[in-house]
Amino acid sequence: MDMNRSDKPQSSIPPENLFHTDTPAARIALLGLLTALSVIMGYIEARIPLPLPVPGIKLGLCNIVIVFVLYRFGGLRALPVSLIRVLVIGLLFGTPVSMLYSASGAVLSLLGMVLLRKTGRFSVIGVSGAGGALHALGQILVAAAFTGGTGIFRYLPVLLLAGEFCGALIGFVDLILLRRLKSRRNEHVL
Amino acid sequence: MARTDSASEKALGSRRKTFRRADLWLLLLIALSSVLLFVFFLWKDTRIRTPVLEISQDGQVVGVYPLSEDRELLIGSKESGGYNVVRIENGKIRITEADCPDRSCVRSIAIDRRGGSIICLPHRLVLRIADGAGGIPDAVAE
Ligand SMILES: [Zn+2]
Repeated sequence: MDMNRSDKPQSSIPPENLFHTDTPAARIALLGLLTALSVIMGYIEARIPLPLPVPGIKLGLCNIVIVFVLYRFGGLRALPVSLIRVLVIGLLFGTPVSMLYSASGAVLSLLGMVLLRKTGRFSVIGVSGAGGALHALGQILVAAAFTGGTGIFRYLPVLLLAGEFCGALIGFVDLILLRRLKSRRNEHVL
Repeated sequence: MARTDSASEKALGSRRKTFRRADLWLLLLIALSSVLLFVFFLWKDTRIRTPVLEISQDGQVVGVYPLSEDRELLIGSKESGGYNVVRIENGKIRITEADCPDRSCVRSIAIDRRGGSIICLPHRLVLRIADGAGGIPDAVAE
């Protein structure tokens, strides 16, 4: 899919300068850049509607940025990036309702990933895969609350699987990304 | 401030396997629960003896209709906005027209007696196949 396309902008950034953020200003600048990137990914994702009766449900391609920020900067920094992304995408392409359930998906997914990562037992792939599934769950829960019906849960199994699969792929891409950037940093530092 | 925090050093720094056994179990567990959930819904559908179309809005049932008769229903009103046109045809149910912003209810797949649901989130409308074993009450809709 657009996994390959989407990681290009990041690999074209000279990592020596941008990913070794010693000063708060540099860090904020980089996080802002990453937030913008996740908004772009959200835009791309909004252009691909899923064949579902529920509008705005996403597979969570933006998690490619969120997982990266989580592993590079920690959960406390990933949360604002994720929430700003939800806000901006919601204002640009969504409705207040769709914003609410993407917020729910984003928070649940990030919370789960933070906890799973803390255990130290799982690699990026496992953490991100579970994050993708939680992303789907969070969205469905709010959508169900809004329709006041349970009919929407019928789509949960397929969304969980799709989210998990995409999440695992995203984790794989992020793993490569994190490794690449790490090794370059080592070259630079050592 | 540390450049990378310890957990990611742990995950990336040590030459541990990219994909661990714990990952496999975690992903399998999620996949298995999805499959179980799917089977549960299938099982629930097979228990429906007399399938009827149940329409609810804002969490309240606004109408129940048999699938045997073809008909077209207007939910909401075209004048004041916020409407959906529901069509029952040859036992298949679709939303053929709506003025919701995304129209994903119109694009969604038709449902039939085997079960399923169509949802219009902006209008908080849910169409689902329910069991009408207790007899179909007289259909009332807007
Ligand atoms: Zn609709």
